[in-house]
Amino acid sequence: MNKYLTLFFRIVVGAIFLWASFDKIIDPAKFARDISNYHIVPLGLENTIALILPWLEFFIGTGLIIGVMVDGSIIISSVLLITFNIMIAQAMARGFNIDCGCGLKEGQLVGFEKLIENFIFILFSYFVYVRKEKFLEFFPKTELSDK
Amino acid sequence: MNFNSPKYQVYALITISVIISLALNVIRSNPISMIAQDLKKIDSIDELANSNEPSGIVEIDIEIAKDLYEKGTLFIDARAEEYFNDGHIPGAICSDEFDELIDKIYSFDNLEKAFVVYCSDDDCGSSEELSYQLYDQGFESIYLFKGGWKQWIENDLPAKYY
Repeated sequence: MNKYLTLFFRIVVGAIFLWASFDKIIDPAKFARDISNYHIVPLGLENTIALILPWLEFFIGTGLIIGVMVDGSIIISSVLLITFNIMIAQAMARGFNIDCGCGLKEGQLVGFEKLIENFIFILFSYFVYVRKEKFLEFFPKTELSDK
Repeated sequence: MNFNSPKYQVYALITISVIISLALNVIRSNPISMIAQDLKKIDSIDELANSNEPSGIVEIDIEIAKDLYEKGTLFIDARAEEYFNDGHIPGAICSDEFDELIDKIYSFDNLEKAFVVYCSDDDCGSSEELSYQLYDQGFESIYLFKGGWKQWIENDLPAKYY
């Protein structure tokens, strides 16, 4: 795939995660309540997730945009996006009409629109992961190994 | 540590996120606990009768909600106006605009008293979210009725339909 297109995908995914992290970092208590509404996290761990996840999103978003630890960031972003879709799908299946807690748009509810949006970003992440050459990546500097 | 390996990059990113997030939570002005705590709950009408206005957000069940309704307590519907117009608890107020809702609450007679917030059912989440928003606005006595509209009509309690 064209290196410029791959760079575009990388920056889009990075920007999405970086943007999504801001509100959650500022107000982890609200994010914890959003997680709680999914009724899937046990043992009151929504608070722990609400503290750590936004910073993980912040670092992978930053990494993807500036070209630092792109492989690690894109693996984590893919796992997160797949996890988000599983959580949204189970909420839809159980009839929950809840705020998705995604951090992108105020009051965005779980639904097919969000599932498709995440699926597109999963595809973008895949194309970044299987890229054939490094372009505007600053750390680590070595060539890509076979994946 | 070999950062050429994606595996170690993943470890590094997770580790730095954990350290930064926990460290900043300790020093922030409003830290949250690592483990979520359940809301305070009033379990019986006797307990309600023996208590003053709730301090903070207190969860109530259908029996308490019914008792408060009969005493003329203000009810706030946290659902969208579209659903509110399809049917709601008589006397309840609702608005899609938060500022407008605040104005409505301020215009209510029993402003100094606690009010009840509800949404569609136990799974909707918007009543809890609105309760916290109102609490942040300075309303310190809030009853959260999680059973909501669904449980209300299942118990054949008064309802208003437009």
